Amino acid sequence: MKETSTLVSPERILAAKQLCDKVLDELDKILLGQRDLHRMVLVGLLSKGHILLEGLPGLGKTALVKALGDLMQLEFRRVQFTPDLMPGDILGTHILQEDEKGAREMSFRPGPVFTNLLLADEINRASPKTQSAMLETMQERCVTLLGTTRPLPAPFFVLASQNPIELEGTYPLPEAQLDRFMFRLLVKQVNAGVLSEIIRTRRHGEAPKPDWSLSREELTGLFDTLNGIYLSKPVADYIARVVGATHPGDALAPEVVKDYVTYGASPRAAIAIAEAARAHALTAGRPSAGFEDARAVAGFVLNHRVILNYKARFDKIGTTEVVERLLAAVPSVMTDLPKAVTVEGA
Amino acid sequence: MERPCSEGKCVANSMHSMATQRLAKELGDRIMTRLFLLYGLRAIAIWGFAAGTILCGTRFALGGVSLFVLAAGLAGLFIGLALAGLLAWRRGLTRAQLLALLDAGNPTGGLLSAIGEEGLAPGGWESPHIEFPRVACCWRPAAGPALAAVVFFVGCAWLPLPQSRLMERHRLDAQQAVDQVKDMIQGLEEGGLLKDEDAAHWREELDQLAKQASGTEPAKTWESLDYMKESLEQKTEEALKEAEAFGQTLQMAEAAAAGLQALAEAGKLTAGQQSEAAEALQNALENAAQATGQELPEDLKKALAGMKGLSLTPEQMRKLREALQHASTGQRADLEALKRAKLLTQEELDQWLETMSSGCKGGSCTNAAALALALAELGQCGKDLAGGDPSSCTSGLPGKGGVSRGRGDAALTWSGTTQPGNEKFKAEALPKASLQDLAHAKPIGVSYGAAEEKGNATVSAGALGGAVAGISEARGHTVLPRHRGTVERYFGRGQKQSK
Repeated sequence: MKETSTLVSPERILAAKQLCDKVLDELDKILLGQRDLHRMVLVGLLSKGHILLEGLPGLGKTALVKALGDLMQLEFRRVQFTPDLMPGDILGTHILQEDEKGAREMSFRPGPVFTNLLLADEINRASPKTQSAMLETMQERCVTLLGTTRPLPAPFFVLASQNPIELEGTYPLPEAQLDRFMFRLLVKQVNAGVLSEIIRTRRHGEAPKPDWSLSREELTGLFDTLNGIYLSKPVADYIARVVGATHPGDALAPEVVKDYVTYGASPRAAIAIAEAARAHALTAGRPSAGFEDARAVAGFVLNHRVILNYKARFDKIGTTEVVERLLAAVPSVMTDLPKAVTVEGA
Repeated sequence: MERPCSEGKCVANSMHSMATQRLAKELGDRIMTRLFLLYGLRAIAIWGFAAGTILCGTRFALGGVSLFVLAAGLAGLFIGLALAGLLAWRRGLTRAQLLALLDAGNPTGGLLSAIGEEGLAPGGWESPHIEFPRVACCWRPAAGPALAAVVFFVGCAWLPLPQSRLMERHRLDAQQAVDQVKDMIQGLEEGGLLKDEDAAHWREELDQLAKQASGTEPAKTWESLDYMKESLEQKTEEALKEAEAFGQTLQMAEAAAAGLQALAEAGKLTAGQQSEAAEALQNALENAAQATGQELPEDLKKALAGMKGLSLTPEQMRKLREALQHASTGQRADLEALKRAKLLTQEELDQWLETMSSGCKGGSCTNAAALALALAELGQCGKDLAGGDPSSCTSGLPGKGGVSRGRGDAALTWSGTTQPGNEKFKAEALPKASLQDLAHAKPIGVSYGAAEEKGNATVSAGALGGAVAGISEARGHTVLPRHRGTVERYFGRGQKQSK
């Protein structure tokens, strides 16, 4: 007889949701007018994914990451990526040292990547060589140097930022690098009301310190609860269909994908959507991930994984618009119903 | 995921699952209903156009549609609807799909799908409030063609269509022959030779035959019509014979009635004889009617019934004669109806009338007076009318004729005169001559003088047997009596012609 498992209890979900709300409230206090961004960052962190923040300078990207480090009591390090930055500057390096007896040996000096929360500021300014050094750390969460693999502390998150306008002297991130970021979040300009509030309450732009912080146990508990969030088969099917439809050759691909997309998203994107949907369901206080959770995160997962063609550039179509139209075109539930019969919400 | 459920929680979970299943079933029913209606409309559209086309084609080509074809067409509609139901059932959604639809239409976070999956208990989660998603169906693409198909079918069924030339070419025009047979039936019906129900049956058969008349198989139609014609003509012939027999009986009865009337007026019959004569007359008429299958007219029946057991008064006899005359007139009218139906020719009718009028005509019967005398003599002979033979009472009467063969003093009637020169004789071979002698004869020369007499040669056989050669012999030859008539006619022939 098949063993029956049970959904996560409402009490646990409620407790987790309260913690999430508290983190979000604190983030909202520190960084005004970015509630949605904070939620998605939290979702990304709970999913143990890396996040690429993209926005104009001065919008608070670095401040957000700093606040997260403080709030979650995570070790935080910041690396300013420059064109002359070398991989050893990030990963660490072996240096020749002489001990007390006069013997010399190579000792490892860990780089800034050995931390919980790494802020890779303006990551696109580093050379491809240095960018590639991040591949193993982001995917394997370990560093291999001189044949020795060293694990990174858990949890390990990379929050990278890049400036979309100052492109001179930058190196666009390769696709493999981009694929390792769970989300690409666009940091938007705040409105005048929020800006007025910032001016009024912040002297010299200093962000306030959080009143409360998340303990390590609470964070671990959140991760445990997240592991219990259920993903039903119809939702998993939906995610698979959405990712499949990003490829122009797919049967379900809408016209916008066929017209403007050169390469679609990888299976890693599907995994990322599923994980992020679970985290989104947890922040919403639900024991299972639904269609709305998948739809809420899919755009941020796919917008940097879909490679557009030149036609899209000429037509001034961005990945965000393509993904939005793609999500509108893919049905939540695949049925064999004739076109004349439609079920609302399907 | 947590540990397996405890016993009490599983019961609650089961109820939760039942509620979920009920929701899914309700949604499934809604979708199924719309699918069935949609496919049903499409089935109606397909059926309407197909059946309408077949109907039009059949009507155009064959000129009509049988009830069987119409019933088969309706059966096709029901089969189409059944197929629509089957298709709707096959296209119906699974439970997982229905739960997913409910999830997609509600902010449940996939909870219904999760609970619906096997091996997962909902735990303490309450069933969320579900707003049933609206199941929309675009009817226009299906309803429009269905409506058009129904209109098309009705139009094909009711609107008049021109007959195809193909049909006209293959159609056999047997209407003239059919009308002729119909006239025959009507004539027989008017003549009382065919009962009403039989006539109706014949007409029905005839109509069906006219409908099915096809140029591709004309022999069948003509054979059927010929058979009907022959049957009717045979019936007419039999009827004519019966009418003739009955008519003769009526004539005889009328003559007898005239004779009896004369006797009654003269007071020459006793009361008993009168009663006996009336009874005999009645029996004779009834027997004749029964034998010929005829029916006595009502007034004649009344007249005969009125005479039964009574002495015949002149008034009764007059009524009887009138009834008999009326019966004869009715019979004549029946035969005239047959003639109108061309079942009888004018010659046949005239011949029948002549035959029937040989006894009595215009109320006067040829032998009425003689019959009266015969009856009177029969009474004098002391014999009964019914059992006696009137021909045996011949004293005092000229000739030896009887009642049925006419009287001796009746005028001679000749059927025809013999034309001279047209006599026909029975061929009779004369005795052969002695050809053997001629075979051995030898010519000795040709002479233009009289034959030379040579001895006493005699002819051994033939008409000149025994005669010897020589003129005198030839002249003096005695012609035997058996040849005299022939010889006289031979030689007298030229004299007659010269005259």
